[in-house]
This record gives sequence, structure tokens and C-alpha cells, in this order.
Amino acid sequence: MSTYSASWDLLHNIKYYKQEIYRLEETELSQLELSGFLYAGSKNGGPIAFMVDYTKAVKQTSMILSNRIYVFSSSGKLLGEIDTKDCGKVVDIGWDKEDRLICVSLDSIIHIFSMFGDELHSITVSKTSKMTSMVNLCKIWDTGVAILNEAGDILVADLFKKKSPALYKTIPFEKDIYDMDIIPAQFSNSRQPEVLLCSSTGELITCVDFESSVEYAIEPVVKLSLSPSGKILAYFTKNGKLVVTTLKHDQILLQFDTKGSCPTKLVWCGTDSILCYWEKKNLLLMIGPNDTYVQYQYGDTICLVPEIDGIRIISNQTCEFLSRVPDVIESIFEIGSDSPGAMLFEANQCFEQMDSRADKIIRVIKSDLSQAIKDCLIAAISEFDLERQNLLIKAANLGKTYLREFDHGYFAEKIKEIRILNQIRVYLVGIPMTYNEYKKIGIRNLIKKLLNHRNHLLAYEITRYLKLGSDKVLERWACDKIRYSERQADEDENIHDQIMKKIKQTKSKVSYVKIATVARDAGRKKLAIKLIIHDPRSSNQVPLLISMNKIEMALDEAINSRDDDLIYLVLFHLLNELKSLSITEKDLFSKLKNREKAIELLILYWKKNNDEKHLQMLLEGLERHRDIAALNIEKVLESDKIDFKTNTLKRASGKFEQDKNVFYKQMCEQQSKLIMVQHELELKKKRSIDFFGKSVNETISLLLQNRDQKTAYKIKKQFKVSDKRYWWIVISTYAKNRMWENLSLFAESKNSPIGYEPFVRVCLNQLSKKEAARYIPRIKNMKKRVDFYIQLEMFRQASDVAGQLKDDNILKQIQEAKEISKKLKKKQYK
Amino acid sequence: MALNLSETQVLDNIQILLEDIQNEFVKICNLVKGDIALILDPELSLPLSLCVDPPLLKKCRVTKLYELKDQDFQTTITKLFFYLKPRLEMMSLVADYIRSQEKVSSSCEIFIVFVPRRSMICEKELEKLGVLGAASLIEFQMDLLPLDGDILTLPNLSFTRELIDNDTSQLLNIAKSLIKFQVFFGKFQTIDWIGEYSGIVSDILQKTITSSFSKKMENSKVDQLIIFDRRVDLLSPLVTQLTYEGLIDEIHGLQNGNVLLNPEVLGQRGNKKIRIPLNSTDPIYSLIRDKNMSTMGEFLKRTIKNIAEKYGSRTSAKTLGELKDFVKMLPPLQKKHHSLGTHLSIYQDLVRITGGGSVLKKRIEIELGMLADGEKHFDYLKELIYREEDINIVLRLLCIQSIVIGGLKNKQFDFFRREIVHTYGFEHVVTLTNLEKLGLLKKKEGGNTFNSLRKNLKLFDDNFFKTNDISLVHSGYAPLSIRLIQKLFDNKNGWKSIDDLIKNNLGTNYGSIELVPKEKKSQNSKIQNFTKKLCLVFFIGGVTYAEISALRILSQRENSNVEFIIATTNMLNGNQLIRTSFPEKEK
Repeated sequence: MSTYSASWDLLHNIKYYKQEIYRLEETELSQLELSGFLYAGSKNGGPIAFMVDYTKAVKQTSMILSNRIYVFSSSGKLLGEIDTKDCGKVVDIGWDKEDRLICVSLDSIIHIFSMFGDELHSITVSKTSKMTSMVNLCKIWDTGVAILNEAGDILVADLFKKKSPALYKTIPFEKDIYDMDIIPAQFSNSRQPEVLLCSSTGELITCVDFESSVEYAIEPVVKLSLSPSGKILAYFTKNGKLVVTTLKHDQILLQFDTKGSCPTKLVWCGTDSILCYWEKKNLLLMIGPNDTYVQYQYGDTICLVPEIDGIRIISNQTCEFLSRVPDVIESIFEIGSDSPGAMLFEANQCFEQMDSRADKIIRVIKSDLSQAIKDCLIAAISEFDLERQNLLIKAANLGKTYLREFDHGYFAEKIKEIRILNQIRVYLVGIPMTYNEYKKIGIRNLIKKLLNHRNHLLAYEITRYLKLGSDKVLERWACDKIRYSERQADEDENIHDQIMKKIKQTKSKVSYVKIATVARDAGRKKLAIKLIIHDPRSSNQVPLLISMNKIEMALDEAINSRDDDLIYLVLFHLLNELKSLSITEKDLFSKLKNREKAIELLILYWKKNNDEKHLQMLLEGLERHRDIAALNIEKVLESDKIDFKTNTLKRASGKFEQDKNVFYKQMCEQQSKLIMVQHELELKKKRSIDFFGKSVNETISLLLQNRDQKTAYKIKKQFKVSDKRYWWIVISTYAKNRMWENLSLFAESKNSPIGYEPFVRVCLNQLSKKEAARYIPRIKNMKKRVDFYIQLEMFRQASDVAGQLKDDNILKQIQEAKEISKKLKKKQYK
Repeated sequence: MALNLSETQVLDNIQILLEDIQNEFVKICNLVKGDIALILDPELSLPLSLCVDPPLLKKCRVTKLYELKDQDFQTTITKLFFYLKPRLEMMSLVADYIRSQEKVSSSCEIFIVFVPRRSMICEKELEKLGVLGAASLIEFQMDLLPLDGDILTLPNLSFTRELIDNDTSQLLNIAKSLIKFQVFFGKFQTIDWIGEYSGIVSDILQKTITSSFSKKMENSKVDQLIIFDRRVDLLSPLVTQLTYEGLIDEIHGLQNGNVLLNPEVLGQRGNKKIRIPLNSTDPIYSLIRDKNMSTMGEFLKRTIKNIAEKYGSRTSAKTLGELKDFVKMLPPLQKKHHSLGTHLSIYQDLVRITGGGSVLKKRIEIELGMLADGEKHFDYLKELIYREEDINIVLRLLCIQSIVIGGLKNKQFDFFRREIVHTYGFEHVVTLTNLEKLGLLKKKEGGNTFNSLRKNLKLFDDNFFKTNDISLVHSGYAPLSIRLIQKLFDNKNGWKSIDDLIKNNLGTNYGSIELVPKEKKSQNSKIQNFTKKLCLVFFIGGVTYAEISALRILSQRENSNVEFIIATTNMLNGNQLIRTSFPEKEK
């Protein structure tokens, strides 16, 4: 193992090493002539995109087309080809944090693709909608794109928030900008992305937003690079110096004179060193503090993909990872190391060779054994080399057999992590993620990444392995299955069955509305409908069904849900279509046919909105005569115009007739007649009496009050008022108005059909005992007569009548009443 | 004695419903900083006052309170909260107001708070009026509120007009309020429902129960839910209530547990009406509210004697200890004393109104005659109309007549309808058609269904004093609604035992759902054998005080093992029921 550490490089006091991850000789990637390409690699072991560089005339094999972008995995597998002929001239490419390919075209449009070449959407970046400007410089990072256009405007687009690109400060024309970088929002003071620029005139400008910027006058700078920690800036000056400073420029951390020209690339290797790459010389220079450097000479062009803890180097032959040697690896594999980890590793070597020294070594480090096991485990995770990893695990395992109390959970957890990382690093998957990166993004983002790479099965297995719940994975699988499977007429059924089978098999809870929406967006309406009916929530189903113009289904579902708002959602959609003349009333009514609840709600809505035209139409169509009649009557009651009232009553009576409701038909006719009669009366009486809105009884009563008995009687006849009711009206009116003489005359006029008790009562209601007494003798029922006399305290008369009845009980009753009355009177006097 | 919930576990918890609503209110106010103006839908003023009191308003920085009516008002406060029922007609008022306010100050923060839930039509209307963007829309789910120890109401929604319009839009809200109830009190173990609306609510409940219930709700505090659709029994509200509480409601009108009385009723002077709270916290009231008027006199006399004796113990108290005991007894005694004075006055006034020779007494006699054996009182009804008695009373009695004899003969039917239209005005064509829609008034067709109901369910029993039967709440008539509920407890097979009666004579449907598996329930019931079963009865479309009294009587019978909590969309009496059928303008 001593040879291992021999290949390490020392920079200042830090050790660096290159690990080979994949051999690429036989892969599709090895076919590319790398020097002729513009490229961009995605972080966390993501894919790399290559696009022919227009500025270089390098001959490619005939397979390579100049208007295409080729996406490869780090293991050299071709993942996708993107045709850019619809994007115009592409000036730069890059990746966002979800491994989507970002292409910026010269006319300031950002096109976003999946790594497999499907265009997802695009964003136009311009100051105003009318004016677009050519891109001068641009910078793509994991959540956004910054563009400096030829007008000098800086525009920053956020790829994850739905808002229009933000305009930053405008740079005056005379300033020539050489390079641009971004301080991502998570590192900036303003909590939004800030833009770093270096100008030909020697200024370093930090644009914070539309208004503010900070400028430092230094010397002309040609390249900029912010460290992955976001705190330290490296720049390369026009005269060949590399400078590293803090962002505030209050401390220069490193200065190194390369005596060279502007490098092709200036990138960070982790956070501790800077790499300068000159493509022409195929020279990679790693620069550290105190003028220390390491030089790597390559035979051919290489591509550099910075990661948070190192750098991926891709050539036609290999994919390597250049990084600091992790402390645990150093402590185990450094020549002559006697750290516990190194001793345990040594012990295991002995153990494998059946050397008894193994036991002795472990006894020596017994007190540090726990640390040693941990170190070996961490070292194993950090290793890309499977053989070495295996040895480290074995060493840890050996140590564990000596230490029963070692935390088994910890051991198992690390082994799980190793297994997962190994699985995603295999050639077929090709995601060489480091342990640091894995820890940083977490398992859930790793699963997401796998799904973005369409490694659904692996994602599923991992979630099952870790017992994380695989619902989301299955959901995504179903969506991708619909999005990317071949379009054939009879496929819908097939895909639906496949998806449902898997969901049932795995007992997953997925959002059917999400999957169905994907199907709809993919233009597979039938499939979408088949899927949406599995969704248990109507509030999900209805909007989607509407969007696919499946109105009847949407209506039925909404009605079934008993949620009126959902029914209204469908109705409003239909009403909008009616308004825009996409459908006719006839279409509308035919859609509502037999859907009672929807009809009820529409009637209610139109009623509340006073949309008479439609309301009448609908009710007519449904032959709901009684409802139309009721509607008309409502209008009659609201109006105070005689013509309108009579006309509307006529319509109402017609509708009642259609409904075979003779009684209400008559009532409407009578009411119409009454209104006319009242109107005539008002004219005749020169409007001295207001009959408007009065009932038949009230009309008669009003006439009697005005001593027009003749007309009153006429109306009685006209409206077939019964004698009994008429008599009651007359006597109540006379009594109420204290027209005693009229009352008396009326009593004499005929034999009363209602007897004479009512006469007494109406008088008593007016508290007129005198008038009341007048009618008591005419009451036939003697007992009643007595009762009234008692009530009026006419005890003598009461006794007389009682005498005729010859009933002692009644006499006794009278006597009692008399005494009570006396007592009460006494009390009152007191 | 009234069901004293303070002794059961549920009452402590019933306050949770109120607290939850109050918390929700505070949360909404905290959406903004600074002073707040509330602008209320007039229909919400009263319900809101049930749960939000002045100190809470102050705490929430509400400095101005307006009602949203036609007239304009201006305020300098820039944080405005409109509390609205989702009524279309309110939207234009809000829009007008928002527009005028925007002219005054552009920095207004406006919230439209829909109670209890947003509605698509209102949002559409706001959009049409061009103010949808100017305000934030939120919901305030003012659901079931305790009205008394054992009564819950949904104050923000009345469900009477809906009975006529067959408008089922509120049923979802009712179901949601019951779901929320279960969040606090656990899952119902069984649901029994009767009537179409109840079936719909039960259906929604069942759907949600199976889909989204948490473990926390496993612990059921309320065993059973009974959902009663008012349309199953529209007769009972029409019958004059003859309990103390019911009669107060009939004569003075109870509103949210308060009554407004003329000062002379209480032997006082002045012309401002006096508000008296009537609920279970009143020690005398809780004893007498469910009593039949005719037994009250005796009871009150006994109570007076009892209190007098206790006061008298002062003179017999000799030792210091005895005196101390007496002093301790004083505050509750004085409270009782005071309360007794009030109730004596109210009682005497009621006796005067219902006593011998009074119009009301005669009417009650007629009414009971009809209910007891379907007597026909057409002459009396005619006279009521000729005397131009209050139309509410005429229609109540006419409807009762129509129901008990299975509809009016063609000639009578037309006769009475015409007399009513001629006497009370053409607008009552609307009233009459509505009553016909409800089935309260109808032409005789087929047999008399009420007869068999009366026989089979023993709807009339004037031996109620002896048997302590629920029929005492109407002096002989036992409310059909409560008789039906009683069947669930008296007969092992519940409503199945009267399947034919419900389906054919009542013409409605019923159902029963077991939500907790049998084996689990038996485990629970082992513990519950010692305590009474708790049952929530939800009345869709209202319940009368007499019916509530009847339920209380049921739970106090010797062999009863159930206690009731009553929930309702609204309180109801005969006049209110009749009035809902009036045309809009006449209400």
C-alpha cells in the first residue's frame, strides 16, 4: 500500500491526489475531439454537455453535427442529443441544480432541456417586452442565469421562481467587461444573487441590485472565479498574475505570477487551491499559498467540472477526480503512519495472511479501537477504488469483532451509505458523487437526482432499502412512463394497465391528478381520463376534466361530490363558453339534461343575477310552468306599475293553466281584476283614497270607511265574497272606526248570518261596553249572554237571564263574580 | 332536572369549540399590524357576538365596528376586514365600498372573510365587479357554537328557506362542522340518519371518515350521532309549545338564549325592554324550563317555601358554627331568590295570557282536539280568518288541520286558500304555494297517514303527568320527531322495527352506519356500562325548545342509559316556520 501515498502531491502543507473513476477508452465519449467543444458539467457527479465551439475550427467525425448538444454521463455514456436549431445561436450552456440543461441563445432567450433532450420551457430575458438585446456575456449557475447584454443591462433570471428577470444596474458602454461571476443568494449580504464583473479599465464591480453597486479599482482583470464557499475570490490579471482575496478586498490571501497568458479556465479545486488550465499547452497548474504549485501535463485536451470538494477531470481516456486527500485516508495510508486507523488496516493485512501479529497490533491500539474502526469506515466511503474500499471495510469489521460495544447502528448506517454510493457510481448509472456531496444534498435529493436521470428502478430500490416510502418515486415513474413512451393508438390502455398494476403491486399512494395532468399535457386525453377516475378527491378530478372538455363527466363528478362550488366551476366554464359563443344555449341545456342539481344551481345563479332571458329559456325548455309562474308572481310583488303588474299576472295565470292549477290561475285573474277595479276607483274618487296593494277585504273596508256602501257591496258581488265574511268585514270596519250608528243600522238591516256574538266582540275590542251591551240580548245562546253580562259587570241583567235558565250554578257563579268585582273596586279606591 | 353538563366530561370540552373559533378570529386579526375596522354582514352581527366579546375585540385591536348596509361610511383605519356570508347581494356593496375607500387612501389592506366558507359565485361576482385583486379572500369557519350546556347551533347558517327551495348547498357545511366536531371529540361510533338531507350528510361524513381520520380521533367521547331531517316532521314545530321555556319562546321569542321583556311583565316601569338571559346557569330556570305550564304553579310554591325555610334557619342558628354555615349558604340562596322572583313574574304573566277564557287557551284546546283524534274545526278556522287574526296563527292551525285529517277536501282547500288571499292579500299566494311545497297544506288524496302514525307511535297521550311521557311538552301531543328518536333506544331493532311506517307513512328513508368495528365497541362499552351513553342529535332545519325538553325528559327517565347533546342549524318555532314561506318582502 505504500505505493498509494507515493502518488500524492504536496501543495504547501496539503496533500492532493487524483483518483481514477472511470476508464473511458471504449465509450462513446472517447470519440469526441474535445478541443473543438464548448462544454459544461453538472455538479454532484451530474452529466456533461458538449457543443461544437463555433470559434474553433476543429475537425470532428462525421457523426457530430454542429447544431447539436451531446450529453454524456461521467462514465462516458451518451445520454441525450439536443437539437438546437430552433434555439438560434447558442452562446453558452450550463446546468441547474436539478440536472436540467440551460442553453442561452444570442437573442437573450434561455432554453431549458431535460438531460435527455426534451425541451421543458424557455424564458425570454429582456428589459421590456419589445426590446431584446444580444447577449454579451452570461453566467449560468445552479439556480439562475445572469446576462450582460450589448445595451449594457444586467438581467438576472431565477430558474425556480416564477417571476420576470430582475434588472440590475446598467454598465456604461465605454467599459469593456472581460468576465463575470455570481455570488449566489445563499452567500450574498443582500440575500439575492449579486453579480461580479471585471472591466478592462481595472475595476472590479459588484452589482447588488438595480440601484446599488460597489466598485474596487484594481488592475485590469481577465478572469474571475468565486470559491465554492462564496467568500473568497480568485482573479487572473491581464499581466499574468493570479490573485486570491477576500470578497471585501481587505486581505490578499495569495499572489502568484504565472508569467503566462490568460488561462482557458480558472477554477477552484475544493476551497483550498486554484487551478489554471491552458488548453493550448494542455497544462493544468494547481496553485497554493506561498508560491507553491503542482503541475499536471496532459497529452490532450481535458474538461474540468468543479465540485464542492474537488474537480472532475475528463479526457478521452479517463474520468478522474482531483481533490485533497481526506484526513482519514492520509492517516491510514501515509507511509509510516501509526494512527489507530493505519494500525487496524495493517492488522487486517496480517489477518488476511493468517499472521498472528494481527492480534498483537489490535491489542496495542485497543484503547483507540473505536476511533480506528470509524476511520476505516469513513475512509472506505471516501474511496472510489473498490478493492481498497473492500480492504478498509474488512479492517473495520475485524476491529468490530474485538469491540463488542461498538455502535452497531453506526456501522450498519455507514455500510448502507457505501452500498448506495457504489450503486450510483457503477458504469451504467455513472454518477460519481463524493461522500461530501452526498452528505450535503441528502438522500432525498439523491433520489430526486436518480429520478432526473430516469433511474427509477434504482431510486425505488434505494427507497425500499432505506424504508423511506416510495410513493413519490412511483408517481414520478408513472409520469415519465407517460411522457416518454412511444405514441401509439392502442398504447393508452396498455400504459394505464401497466401503471395501475405497479401501483397496486407496490400499494403506493400516488397523486392521480398529477399523473393524469401529465397525460393530458402529453396529449393523451383518453389515458388522462382513465387515470383521473382513480383519484378519490372530486376537487382534483373536476378541474382536470374541464380542462379536457369532458364536461358531462366533470358535471357528474361534481354533483356526486355534493360540493356546490365544484358544480359552479363547471357551470361557469359553460357560461364562459356561452358568452364567447363557443356553444349555444341549446348545447348548454342538453349538457345539463337530467342533471337536476346542476340545473337547480344554474336557476339559482340566474335568478340572483336577474338574467331573465336565460332563466325563462331554461324553465320553458324544462316545462317547469309552476316555477315560471312563481317567478312572475315575484316580479308582480316587486313592481308598482299597474300595466306591468297586470301583464305579468296574465303570464303567470297562463303558466298556472299549463300546470293545470285552476285555483292559482283564478287567483291571478282575480288579482288582475282587483288592480283594475282599484285603479278605476282611485280615479273616480279623485285619488282621495289609496287602494294600491290592498286586499279584497281591505278594499271593501276602505270603501265602507268612506261610506260608499254601494260600491263595497258591488265588490262583494264581483269577488264572490261570502255573506259571512262580508258581515265580518262590515262590523269590524264600523267598530274600528267607531261608526256606531252604521253598525246599529247594519244589525237591523237583515238577520245576521254570523249571529250577534261577533257584534259584541268587535265592540268590546274597542272597549265600548255601552255599544256591546246593545247586542247581547240578540245572542241566541243564553249561557253566552250571561257570560257577556258578567264580563261587562252587568250583574242584574246576568241574573235575569240566569233566572230564565233556572240554573243555580250559574246564579252562584254570578254571585262570586260580583263579589270579586266589589273587592277589586275597593282596592282601587284605596 | 335539566341535563347538567358541567358534571359530565363533555361540557368542559364543549368550550373548546368556542375557544377554537376565538383563536381563529385572533389569527385572522393578526394577519395585519395596527388598528382594525370590522365591517359585518348584518346577518352576522348576532352570530359573531356569540363568540367574539368586546374584550377580545379590544385585544385584537379592533377599534371600529360597522355593519355593511346601503349607506356609506368612511373610516381612517386602513386595515379593513369584511366579514360576510357568501351572499351574492352583499358583493356589490363590498365592491362599492372598496372603490370609495381606495379613493381616500391607496394603502388600504382589505380582507374579505367569508363565513363559514368561500363560494365560487361570490368570487365570480367580485371578479366581475373588478375588485377581486384589491382584497385578500379568507375563510372563517365559525362552526358549531355552544348555545347552552347541551345545545349547539350553527349560528352562521339558517336552514329554513332551504327546506322550501330544496337548496342542499349548506349540507356540505353541516357535514364539515360535524367533521370538525369529531376532531375534538373523537369519531362517532354509529350514525343513524333519517330523511333525505340526513342521508346526504351521513354520506359525506362516511366518505371523509374512511379517507382522512387521524389516530387522535379513535377515542370517541360521543358514542352516537343521530341526524334528523326536519322535513320528516314539520308538524311538531307548528304545535304550540307548552313547556315553560317553549311558551316563553312562543309569546316573547327567545333569541340566542335571551328574552326581551316588557318592563311591566317584571313589575317594573319604563318603556325600554329588559334583556334576561335564560340558560342552565340560572339555578331556578334549569329546574323549570322543561316543566309543563300546568305543573309549574305547584313547583314554584314548593321552591318558595324551601327558600323561605332556609332563610328561616337564621333564627334557629345558635352556635357560632351554625351561623357560619348559614352565611356560607347565603350567596347561592340569594341568587336563587333573585332568579325565583324573575320567574314568578314571568310565570304570572304567562298564566294571564293562557288562562281560562283567553283566546290562546281556546286555540290550544282546538289544537289538541285536532291532534288527539283528528277533529275538524273548520268553523273555528273560518272565524279566525274573519276576525283577521294574525296570519301566522291561522296558517299554523290550518296546516295542523290539514295534516291530521290527511289533507283538505277539494272544496275546503280552495275555500280556505281563497279566504286567505282575499283577507291577507295576494302576496300570500306565494306563502300558500310554499306551504304546499312543504306538504304542510294539501288536497286530500289517498288515505290518512297521520292516523296510523298516531296509533303506532302513540303520538297522543294525555296521561303524561303519571307516565312522565314526553307528550307533556305539548300537554298531550308527543312530538313525532322525538318519538322516532325514542324508537332507536326503546326497540332493539331501532327504526327497522317501524320500517313500513317510515317508508310508507312518512314517505322517507333512513339508515344506520357502524363506524367502529363491533369487537372494538364491545371493549369500549365494558367501561361505558357505568356511564350513560352520549348521543349527539343533529337537526337539519331547526328544532323547537319543546323538542329539546322532550329529549331531556327521555334521558331522565329511570331506565334511560343515554344523554343527549342537541345540535341544530337554528332554533325554530311555528311562527318562524310559517314565516319562512312568506314572500321575501313580507318577512
